[in-house]
Amino acid sequence: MEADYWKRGAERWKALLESDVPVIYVGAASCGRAAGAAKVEEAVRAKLGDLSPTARVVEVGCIGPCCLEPLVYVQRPGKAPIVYGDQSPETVAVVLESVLSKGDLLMDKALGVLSEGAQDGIPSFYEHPMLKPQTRLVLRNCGIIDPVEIDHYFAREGYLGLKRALSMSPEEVVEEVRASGLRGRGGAGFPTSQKWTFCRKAQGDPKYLICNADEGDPGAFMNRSLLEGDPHAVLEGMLVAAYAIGASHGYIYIRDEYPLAIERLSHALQRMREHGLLGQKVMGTGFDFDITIKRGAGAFVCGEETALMASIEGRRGMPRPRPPFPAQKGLWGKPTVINNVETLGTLPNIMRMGGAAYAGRGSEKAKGTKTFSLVGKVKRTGLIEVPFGTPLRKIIFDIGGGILNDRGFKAIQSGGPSGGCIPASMVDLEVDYERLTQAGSIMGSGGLVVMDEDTCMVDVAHYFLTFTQNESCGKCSPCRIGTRRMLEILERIKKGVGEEQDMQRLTEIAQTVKDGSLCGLGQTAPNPVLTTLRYFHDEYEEHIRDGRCRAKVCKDLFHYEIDPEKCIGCQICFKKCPVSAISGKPKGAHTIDQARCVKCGLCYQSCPPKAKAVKRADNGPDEVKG
Amino acid sequence: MITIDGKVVPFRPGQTVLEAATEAGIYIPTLCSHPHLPPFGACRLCLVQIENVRGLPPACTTPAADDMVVRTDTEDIQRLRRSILRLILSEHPNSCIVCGERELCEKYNVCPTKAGRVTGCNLCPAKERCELRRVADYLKVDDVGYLLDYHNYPLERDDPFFERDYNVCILCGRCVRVCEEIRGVGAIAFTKRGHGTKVGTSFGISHLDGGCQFCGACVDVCPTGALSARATKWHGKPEKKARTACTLCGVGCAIELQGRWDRVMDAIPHMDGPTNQGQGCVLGRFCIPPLFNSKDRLKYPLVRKEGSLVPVDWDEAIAEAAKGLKRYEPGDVDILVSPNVTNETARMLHRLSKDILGGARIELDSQFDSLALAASRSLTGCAGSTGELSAIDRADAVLVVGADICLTHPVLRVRLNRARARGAKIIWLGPTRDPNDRLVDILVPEANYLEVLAGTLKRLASSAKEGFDALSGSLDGFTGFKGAADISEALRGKRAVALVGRGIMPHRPKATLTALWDILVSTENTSGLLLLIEGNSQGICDAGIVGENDVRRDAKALYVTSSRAEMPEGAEFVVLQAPFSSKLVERADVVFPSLGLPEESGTTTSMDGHVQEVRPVSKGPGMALADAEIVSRLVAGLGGKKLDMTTAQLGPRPVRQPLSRLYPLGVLGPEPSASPAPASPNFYRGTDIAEKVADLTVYYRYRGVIP
Amino acid sequence: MRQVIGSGTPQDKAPWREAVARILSRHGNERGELIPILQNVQAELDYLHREALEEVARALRLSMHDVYGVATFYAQFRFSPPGRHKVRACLGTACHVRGGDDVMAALERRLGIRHGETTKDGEFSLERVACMGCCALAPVMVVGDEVSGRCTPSKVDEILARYGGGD
Repeated sequence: MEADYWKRGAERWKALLESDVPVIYVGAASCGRAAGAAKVEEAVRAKLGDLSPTARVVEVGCIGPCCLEPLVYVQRPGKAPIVYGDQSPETVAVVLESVLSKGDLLMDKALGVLSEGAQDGIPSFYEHPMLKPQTRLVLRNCGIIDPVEIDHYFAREGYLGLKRALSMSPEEVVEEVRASGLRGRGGAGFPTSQKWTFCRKAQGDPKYLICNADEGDPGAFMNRSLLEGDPHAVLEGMLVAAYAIGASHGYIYIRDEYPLAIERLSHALQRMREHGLLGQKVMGTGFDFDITIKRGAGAFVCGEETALMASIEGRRGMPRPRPPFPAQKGLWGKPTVINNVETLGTLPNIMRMGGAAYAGRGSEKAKGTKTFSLVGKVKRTGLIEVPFGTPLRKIIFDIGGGILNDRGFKAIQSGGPSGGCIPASMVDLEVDYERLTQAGSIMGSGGLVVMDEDTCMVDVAHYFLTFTQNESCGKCSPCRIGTRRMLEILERIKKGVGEEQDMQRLTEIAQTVKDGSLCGLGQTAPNPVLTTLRYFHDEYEEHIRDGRCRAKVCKDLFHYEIDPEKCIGCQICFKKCPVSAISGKPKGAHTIDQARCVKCGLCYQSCPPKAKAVKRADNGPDEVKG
Repeated sequence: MITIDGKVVPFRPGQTVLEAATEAGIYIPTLCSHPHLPPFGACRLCLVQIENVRGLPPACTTPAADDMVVRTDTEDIQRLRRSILRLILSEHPNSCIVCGERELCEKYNVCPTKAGRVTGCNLCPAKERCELRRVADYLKVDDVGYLLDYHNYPLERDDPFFERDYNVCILCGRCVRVCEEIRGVGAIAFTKRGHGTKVGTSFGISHLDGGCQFCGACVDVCPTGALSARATKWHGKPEKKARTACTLCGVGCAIELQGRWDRVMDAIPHMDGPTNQGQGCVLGRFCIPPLFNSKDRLKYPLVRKEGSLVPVDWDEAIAEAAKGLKRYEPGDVDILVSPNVTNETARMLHRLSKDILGGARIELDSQFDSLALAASRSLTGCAGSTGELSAIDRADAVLVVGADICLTHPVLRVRLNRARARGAKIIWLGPTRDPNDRLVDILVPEANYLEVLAGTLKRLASSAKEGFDALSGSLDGFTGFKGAADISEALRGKRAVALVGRGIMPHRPKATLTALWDILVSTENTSGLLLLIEGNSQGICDAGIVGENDVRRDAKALYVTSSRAEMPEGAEFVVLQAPFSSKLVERADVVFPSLGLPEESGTTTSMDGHVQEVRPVSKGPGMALADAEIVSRLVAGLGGKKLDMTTAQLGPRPVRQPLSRLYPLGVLGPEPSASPAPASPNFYRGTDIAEKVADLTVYYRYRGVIP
Repeated sequence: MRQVIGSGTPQDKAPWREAVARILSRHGNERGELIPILQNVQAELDYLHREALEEVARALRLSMHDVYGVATFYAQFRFSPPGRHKVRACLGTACHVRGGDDVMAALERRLGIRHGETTKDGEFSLERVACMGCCALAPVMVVGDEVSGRCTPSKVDEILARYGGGD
């Protein structure tokens, strides 16, 4: 009966791809929805009502290029789907009308076809500059399959990895993972097989497996995308891991900010139960395993293993010192393994293709691929997957298409609040755990935020410290107080009232917090400060000595003014200004009353491009300290 | 063996590096760890270097291991510690720690200066015990380098007994942990997080509202001046300390009395008391100084002359008392013994009644305690509990019958909490005023408890038992045994402890005790503990005083060392010996001022049989003398040979006999008419403690204990 | 849950009490259920009030202060009623570098409240969130369940206007 799963899956998948009615796929992950996918889908259904009432609409996850959302793929009978980006309810109606009834494929708007080669003169979407440099293993199903259809997952060789694992002994599974060189994708990159072995050997029953989906780094959404687009991949990974360590129960600890991912997971768990993939005797073997979803309640520190367990136990998410390690005494004092979503999502690939084959990709010390969320001041933002060892340049300029508005590239931030800023000069750095750590940053879970010359590095340090200071659990003194003291100094500097010794002070406190803190949050919290001090010392000095913020971000250090020569007196800024700080007659030059101005920037943004009369200007030396 | 700073020292399995170092006399600075509490690892001052271990692990959470090589004081470690301490001090008023004038200043300003807010310098009540200062001295931190970040939290002074100033709190969490983990109360918790973390209550409600039991454990573990006892916070350093046994209830907690200016200044639970293990309660922790320093202490011997009491010297008072007592036949004299006097005094009073007064009646002045002791003696041949309090630590089930422990024996909660944490079932029959009774697994309210108890015992009794018949026979409208099945299941064949308290008094107490002892306590592995209300009832009973005969209503002369029982109306001549003035003084013909707990020497016996020494820390007021000395002088005045303490030494306690049902039930005699227990739960020498201690009045009023 | 034998306490039939009782009976009384219980109580009552927390504490045999301590640790829990429309501005990294602060400032200005507050008419409450995971569309704001990407201060006005606010 089991064998039927894959057969049935393949049939249903084929029926979809070779459907004799049109199929419209809508990228409806959270990112797509934020871009308006729900309204687009509504418009699609409405339009299909007129055009082709039998046509099907399928919601898929995120295929990666979020900058092009909402994405709609139109599949005509017998043809591969054509991808159209940046859709709105209005444009999608036009696309459907043209493609389905007029036979006009709107070549200029088509981004590509979802097939290996070109079709009707439209190149493969996989040849798109954002996708071409990628190696999609973990993300191989995202945006392709319908995440609520377990059959689609079966059709794409889903649960074959588990099947193979269950045919082996747990030790052999651990060995296979060891051969793959898999390291934790959640931050520090600890070898997964080693973690498992500790837990396997630990005394205590039952043992627990926790999937850490508390993706808290601001600027990172790899886990969300994977869970929304291909939940079964992660769940299959959990089964493999649980089998290997001998766990009988699993938890998924997931941020409550990810309602769609939670919905997809709950749905997937239900399907798994129906298919005998969860509960007693998984796949008819002697392996019993069940999974519970635990929603986080809004605490970044709960990404830390011991805090996460405290949270599942119904306590304040305060980390505790190790030893004992979770693998020895974890959840409710029992041996526990906590693996990141992506680590688990990688396991089906490893089990399917074999550890050695998997290890064929990546760099010397880090095998396989890594997903990143590429965001910030880059042209093409979204979710990407590349082999370890890929140079930053390739990520930013090939995949990301370079800096937004062709401004100058200043830095790239990795690892979220625990990471650091890597300067443009290190753009050829090949990304893996060790190289990022050497550069003062960390791999983290995979957030990459690109910064251009309009980004102030003091402000970036201040931003991250505000974040960690807010998210510190408050238990240990170096983190609770040290981050606060550092933040105060950064505030001073941003206001232009910093002192010469402040950089020295910052370094000292940062070192104390790094060496003295109880958990990973505190130990890495100073990284954004330390790396910006290391690579952007001159910007700090400018703030302190000259009262100048070259990026014009620190509001106390610049002001807006209107160039009377350029002002055309259109009155747009006059009308927009929320505090009536702008005066001037129609067609005459306008001026800004500096005493009233709150520097919201509305005038600057709204000044017509042909005039460009509103400027940001450095404060004079007198204005600085005032 | 573990090597610490080059010294090879032994350790026991399970010990941490910090514990091993401390036992070896190696100091590692720490602020959050405490010997009574599980490790926490928050202050980060005990970081050490361990060979082959990455980073600097905290000594307080790292288990000691063989062949471990630890360095506690390298320059790197000290630098890091100094930097961490400076951060801590950046949020703690610190001029008292880092001021350049500190040494000179302290030479001349010995006592801290009273101030509402602690802002440093000489304004902190914790000056003498501040652990931050100790750590700062060790690390030689004499500058902070930050402007003080003062939280400006409001002072919390609305609750009785202790005050809270969280502006000096360093969030070590000791108070939160002791309250939750040791006391099982959880009256405070960490609230919010990060830099906004503050120890507090749910929605900031008062401690009175929040269910605090004012045991003071939080005050005693606080390393700073954030928590301080209101009455004693400004008293400075004690001149004298003495370990003694508290007699404000029957538990007999070991406490350390602190004295200054010949008065008791403070009382703190002793770390290794056999019955209390470092914990205390509202009575022993906060009530001793206000009680014994009260203005109502009797200071001079008084003799009634022409209708009014006038101060006289001791000789005259003794002569007057002897003269008066000699006028009566032995059978007309009754001696009423306070349950708070020492074993030695009790022995001497016993001798006085038998040998000197030729057989005067003598009785312990405590209704429940005398009844329970007498009944247990008739059941087992030995008066008192059949086990020690430590039996609770081994029990699978604890049955509490008629004991409002939160009021009468608050410190027992600590053991109950530990038992529950171990998984023991706590079954509570009868009253509870514990506002936060999380401990209890099965609760039977007072209205239902008798029938449920009877039902339970019937189920447990394998055959008809006399005790059960006696109990159930008293149940009017006895309808059924709802819930009894669950309780008997929890008790059957288990290691169990029955705690029996004063609340049985209105409900056929002798029958209840008999049935419980006969059916439950007689089984293997079960102990019956009598929760004696008064400080030394057990010791006085052991001196031979309990259960001999009842005080006659028609005694003509009375010698009273307590003043709680109703005095026989017909008494013509009354000698009162007490530390406190009371209404009874008006009926007395002779008044002897006696010493109180912080002034006494001798021994007392806890309700589970521990004989402990009582030691003085202060002098009594005026001409007050020790009870034993007064009795001794009275004996001499009556023409006997002067008794001294050595002749008053106790004989051995009788050995408990195994329970048997050889006794005839008739021994129990008729039931006393139902007499409700007095409203106020705690007395000392017949004086209502709540009457003398204003904060206790506030607390009890709030809980509805007293009107 | 503690078993009480005999004299029952009078039942207060306030609707919130029934809701809490329903949630408690669904979740059982293990400590591990505390946070899910609080999440569901908040979903039903919109915020956590003292009586509800006391009820939860009693059922789980925890100290109410402990429960409050847990609830205040997590950013998700509210202790006063929120506005009818919950407005959240994302201040994640991507949103920050793309002007999330300006969006937040515009919201505060338009609604006349600071983040963490509710407008006097009870229509809007404003909160900040660390990251919505929609970084590629930064800056992001959310009203109720509706997520809007690529926000600017001018777009804030349009969005609020749809909910009848902003002036």
